[in-house]
Amino acid sequence: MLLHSNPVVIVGGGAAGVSCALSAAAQGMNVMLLEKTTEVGGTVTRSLIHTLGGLFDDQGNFLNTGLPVELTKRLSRACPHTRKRRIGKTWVLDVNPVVYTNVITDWIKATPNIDVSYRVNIINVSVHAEQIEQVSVTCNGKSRTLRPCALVDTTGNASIVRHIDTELVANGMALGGFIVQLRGIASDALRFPKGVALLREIRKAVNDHKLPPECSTLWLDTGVYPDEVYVKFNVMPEDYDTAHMRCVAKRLLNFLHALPGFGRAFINRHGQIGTRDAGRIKGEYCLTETDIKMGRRFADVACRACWPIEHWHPQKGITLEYLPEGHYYDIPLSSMQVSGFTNLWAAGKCLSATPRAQASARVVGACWAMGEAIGKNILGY
Amino acid sequence: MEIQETLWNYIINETLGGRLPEGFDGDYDLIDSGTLDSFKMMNLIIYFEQHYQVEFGINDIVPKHFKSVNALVAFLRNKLG
Repeated sequence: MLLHSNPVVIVGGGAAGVSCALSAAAQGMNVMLLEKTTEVGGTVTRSLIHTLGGLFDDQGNFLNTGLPVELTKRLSRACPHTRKRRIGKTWVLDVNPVVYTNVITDWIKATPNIDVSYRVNIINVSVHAEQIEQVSVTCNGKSRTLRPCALVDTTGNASIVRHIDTELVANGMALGGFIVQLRGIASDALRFPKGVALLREIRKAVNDHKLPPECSTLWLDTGVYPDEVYVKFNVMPEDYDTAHMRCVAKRLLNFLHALPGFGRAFINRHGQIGTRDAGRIKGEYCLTETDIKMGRRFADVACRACWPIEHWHPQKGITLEYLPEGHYYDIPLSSMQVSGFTNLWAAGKCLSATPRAQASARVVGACWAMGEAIGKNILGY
Repeated sequence: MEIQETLWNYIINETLGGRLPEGFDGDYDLIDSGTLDSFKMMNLIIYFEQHYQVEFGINDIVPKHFKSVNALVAFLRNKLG
């Protein structure tokens, strides 16, 4: 029998995993947070995400209370360059990914009842009567068997649910992002709409074969520091090659050197490939594009979201569809409960949703709110 | 089709997705209202480049040319001679 005194096991230390851990610990539960790499932070940390979407509504007010608000406060306290910024009809929080990583690492360390393990591989998950019974892991070469009261998959690609049954996961349907941080740029080089003009020059250069085709769909964005610009390349994760993309970035840098404000630009950091949709679970409910556009409310609401449908289609590229002014929708808990299981959840990017619904619900602020909701409801739902 | 009509149709259908904001007219501020963000401006540029066989240079893509539908019409008419 599984007891509530057994730990909540959360796999994946990204936005949803960390918030779920903080939230469950605040309820007095023992939490085991298992991370496959050497640090928490997930996509923000590894892929250099510098704009956090999904924290604010279209007026710039917080969409959800609780941990997303606390996160914003902590990030603002930790770095004076953290700032809220309007992009089109949305509001984002500009952050330094390193600051983000440090803030959440310290936050978890200071929270009682959270045991974080790094370099963890999941070996086996055993199921009995619609419940997760045991999770077998290796950590730094040592094997362990855990008996969780609940298991939460916050891996971003539903790898734990996939481990149990591949039929419970729909494959991802979006381009991934490879981000490069440039420094040494004139402070107003991307001031709107100069960035658009630069992108136009880059795309012309691709058409004239002066730049490789990988540059045709890239995007440029400002960072938190005045001399900082992020370049976002969009590639299918299965086609991604680190060495090749670094060469592409270098060729782009040489091209940019001739453009206004980029004469002294240099590559400061490369991110790792970040996936926008690497698989969605089949949940008790599947969030749809209609739910999002109709602003549907659910009795089992976990959190609110209102990010545009930002779909990075593998063939068609990006389409951005804003929701109506003042609009928001609910993400229900049932879209994070894995179908047919009583104690298996998946939060964050791998929630149960159609590809275009996920293209709105996947952003960092929503992931924080989703994780928090599961932590609060994990035993009482 | 006249530039003005083509542009209105494009802004209403593609940029605004068929949803007209309150008080929308030819002088409505497309930039300050957030209507024309980077994505939508890029799409508009690509559309007009293909539709009218023109090229937008780095000096064409400045706020005063994109501030409103009327400003865009004037800029495009000038560009197309």
